[in-house]
Amino acid sequence: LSTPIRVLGLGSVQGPDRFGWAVVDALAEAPAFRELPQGKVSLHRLERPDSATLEALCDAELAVLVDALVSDDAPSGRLLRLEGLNELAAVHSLSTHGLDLPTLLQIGRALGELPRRVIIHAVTIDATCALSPEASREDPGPAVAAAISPCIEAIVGDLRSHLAAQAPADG
Amino acid sequence: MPLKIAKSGCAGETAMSARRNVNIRVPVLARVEGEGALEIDISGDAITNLKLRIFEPPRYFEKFLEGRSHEDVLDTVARICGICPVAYQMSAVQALEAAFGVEVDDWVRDARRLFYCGEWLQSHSLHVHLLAAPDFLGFDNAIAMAARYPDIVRRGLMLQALGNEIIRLLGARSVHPVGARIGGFWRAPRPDQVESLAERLEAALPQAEALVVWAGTLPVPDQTQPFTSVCLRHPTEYPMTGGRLVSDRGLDIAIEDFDQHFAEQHVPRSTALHCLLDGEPYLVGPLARLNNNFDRLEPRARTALEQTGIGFPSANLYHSLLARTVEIFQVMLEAVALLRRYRMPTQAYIDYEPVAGTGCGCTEAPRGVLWHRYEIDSAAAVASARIVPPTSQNQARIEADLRGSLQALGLDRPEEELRRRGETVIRNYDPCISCATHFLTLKLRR
Repeated sequence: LSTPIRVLGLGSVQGPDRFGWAVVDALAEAPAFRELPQGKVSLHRLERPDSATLEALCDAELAVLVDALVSDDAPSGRLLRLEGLNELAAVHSLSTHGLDLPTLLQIGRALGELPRRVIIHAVTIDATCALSPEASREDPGPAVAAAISPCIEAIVGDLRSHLAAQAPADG
Repeated sequence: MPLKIAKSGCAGETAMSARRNVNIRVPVLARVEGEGALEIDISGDAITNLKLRIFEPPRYFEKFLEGRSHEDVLDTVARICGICPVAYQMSAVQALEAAFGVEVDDWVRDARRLFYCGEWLQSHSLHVHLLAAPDFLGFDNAIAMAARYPDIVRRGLMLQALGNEIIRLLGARSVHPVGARIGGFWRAPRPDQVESLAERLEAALPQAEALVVWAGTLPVPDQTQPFTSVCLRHPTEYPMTGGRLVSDRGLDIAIEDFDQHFAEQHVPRSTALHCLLDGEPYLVGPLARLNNNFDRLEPRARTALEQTGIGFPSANLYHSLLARTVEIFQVMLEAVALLRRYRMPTQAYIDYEPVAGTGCGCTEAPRGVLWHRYEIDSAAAVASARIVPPTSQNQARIEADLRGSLQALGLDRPEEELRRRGETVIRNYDPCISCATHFLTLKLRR
């Protein structure tokens, strides 16, 4: 957790909720990611949002969070990019267990422990799919799986532009 | 757990007439586990209608289990709840082992208690710091509280993470763990993992002790009420993984006799069954446990509680939060002791042969008594399953408390104050609505 940029995949082993982990795993193998400067970016798989998530964000310059997002309106597989906590105001958690990602990030901000930049890449999951047997399979399903590569491209794009902006300061 | 795009916020709707007929609606209760609503009608100085509505759809877990192999039970029941999966697994494994006549060894018993300590630690820490404390300190939520009390919130998150670490040690992951099996665990943790966690827990003990003292200073309403405390009681241990079902009003039964005294019933406003003890509401959970088991506390936990000057047993339901903090300290002390005496076993489970039979299991989930009963057929498949979660047992008690607490506050109080008190009362029970469905939105009319 010493790199200035951290990519955190949130999820679980099951169904479309696996998206965050699947993206982080695929990023590790992606040539475009491997070409980024060594020691600047690290990848992490996290379970439920908790203090480990805040710990993973603490002292970072940029955090890229990857998660799945259930939607009543959008079909499964649509990619969304949110930057900053204000955009998260339009999102509330499906978690029935008190501590969801938007709340945790707002607590992190109140505690002064958030990176300067927080970007969230999310894939939509159709609400009916989230409640179907598909949600308990080990693979994320075809629509969500198809979003992994474009999500990696989008993340690498964010990482490149952030590093480029930092380059003069580093130099 | 995935996020969801908001379609609408939740807000109370109000209407007040010159005759003081008030209509309050809390369509979705915040800071509770799951989804439920509160509806209250007040006419003059009387509550004419009060309903705690649980509207999450029924989940039919018992039916899902029918016809499945007994080996599927633990992983299936863990999915009932993201915050107390260990409780579901431990009640289920106890019931199945009773059905098969399996006796586990001391290593398994210790490992299961450690596993359960982790769940109490993470669940209680979350509830105390992020769900309940903002009510007593005058904040709308934990985010606002974090800005004013950052060290308190940091401590809570740290303790929750330690609980998750314990669960992960034995369950491979903290959400829906997969380490438990009939006869024990699939694998035993390595001694170096155990040593490292023991050191971290031991270093955090002073913070858990300070948490008890802090909880004793919280400004909670000074309101007592009559209620029956029901929990397990064990000959020597603080109740968690075994014992007899007891109450402070004379109940003392084997867990197999549950049906002789407890009865579940459908109510139209709820997808959760209401469970009554001899026809009356009763309390399960940390306050009930502490009221009946003060003498089973570790000496350091008892001393910390005594330092608060608050006596137990307590008839003040708001002392539930203090009870949770005592239990946090208790399970951390226990976990350190269990980890310190850990020895790597040659095998982390004992072998067993499934046979047709029926078994009951009853353990103390963080929110209270969790009772299971399974009937296994000759093909080693589940013929029938029954699960009685703590929140369905507390529902009638919560409604009785709401009625008494709002009357005690004064029904002529401003609508916002009534709404806040109502939500505080409910959150004080740490209801797990998702588990109970088989639930909050406030509607108030007066």
